[in-house]
Amino acid sequence: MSNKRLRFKALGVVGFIAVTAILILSVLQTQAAIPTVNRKSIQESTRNGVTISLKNLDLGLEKPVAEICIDLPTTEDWLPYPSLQTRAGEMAVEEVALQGAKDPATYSSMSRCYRVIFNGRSKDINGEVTVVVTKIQTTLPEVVSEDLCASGRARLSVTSPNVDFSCTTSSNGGTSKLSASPQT
Amino acid sequence: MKIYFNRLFRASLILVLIALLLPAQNVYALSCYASSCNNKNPTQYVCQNDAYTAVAKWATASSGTVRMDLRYSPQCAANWTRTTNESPGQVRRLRAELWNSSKTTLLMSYESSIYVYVYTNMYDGTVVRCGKGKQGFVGSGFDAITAFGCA
Repeated sequence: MSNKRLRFKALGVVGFIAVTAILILSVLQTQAAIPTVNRKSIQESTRNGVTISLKNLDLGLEKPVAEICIDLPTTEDWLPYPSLQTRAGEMAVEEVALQGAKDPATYSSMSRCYRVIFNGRSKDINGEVTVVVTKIQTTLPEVVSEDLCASGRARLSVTSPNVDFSCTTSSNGGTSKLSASPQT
Repeated sequence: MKIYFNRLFRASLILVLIALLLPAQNVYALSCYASSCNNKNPTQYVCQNDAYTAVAKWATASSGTVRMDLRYSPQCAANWTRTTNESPGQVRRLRAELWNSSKTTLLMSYESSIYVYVYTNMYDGTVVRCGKGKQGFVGSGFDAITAFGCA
């Protein structure tokens, strides 16, 4: 039996609230059996009013599956961007599924849980693994309004005054066009 | 009688002013529910206003990373699929597909080579639906194809 330590770190936010949460979780993996999570060590962390917790990590399936819960700052549509870091490298996220996705109670609550599938094989994991949520961000609406576009342009102009973009939305699609002027 | 008409005129004037001040989308936004949303564009209905990503799936290949969002509107009880080029900077061929729960029937699809994101029309979301996103180089086949995401 090997003892694995799992660090869970959520860092930064694209959108409105910056989050940095660090959680440590122990994962016990038997040699020939399904790996199990030591639930006693499940932790959560709160930064800037946002609480993120890792509820479970299942390494007994073909692909690693994690369950994370987040106390979001608003009831908007937030999407976490997690990844799994192993000794062999990083496993990118393959799926993030909102639990209770069609339950109206889910959308009226700021506490939501997500089932995360990572793009790699569980049996390839050996040693310490780290679940990292690099950002959570609100999803864009289908139609990007002029106000929303102007807000983004204003934020960009602070850091990159010579770069601008325009937003175009049409039936069943949308795009943005970047432009840059020569620096004087 | 003169006072009565005066008040009626003032009330009518106030109603007209209120109507003029309302945002256009609120005046003209249409509503639908479940199967009455089939093959309707979410942006032409109120459905896009409360839309959520029920499932997001990613895939990466030579053309870059593509993300599929299976969208759901609680107000309309309708699903649609949105596909986004997450490696923007180069125009890509994008395709969004909405399937039934057994992944045997393609319900809705939309494809374009000029957008950063594309989305299908809506379909009844009272039962499980599945989405798939595809991305490729313009003029070529798709090389980044997500697995089905269902909710």
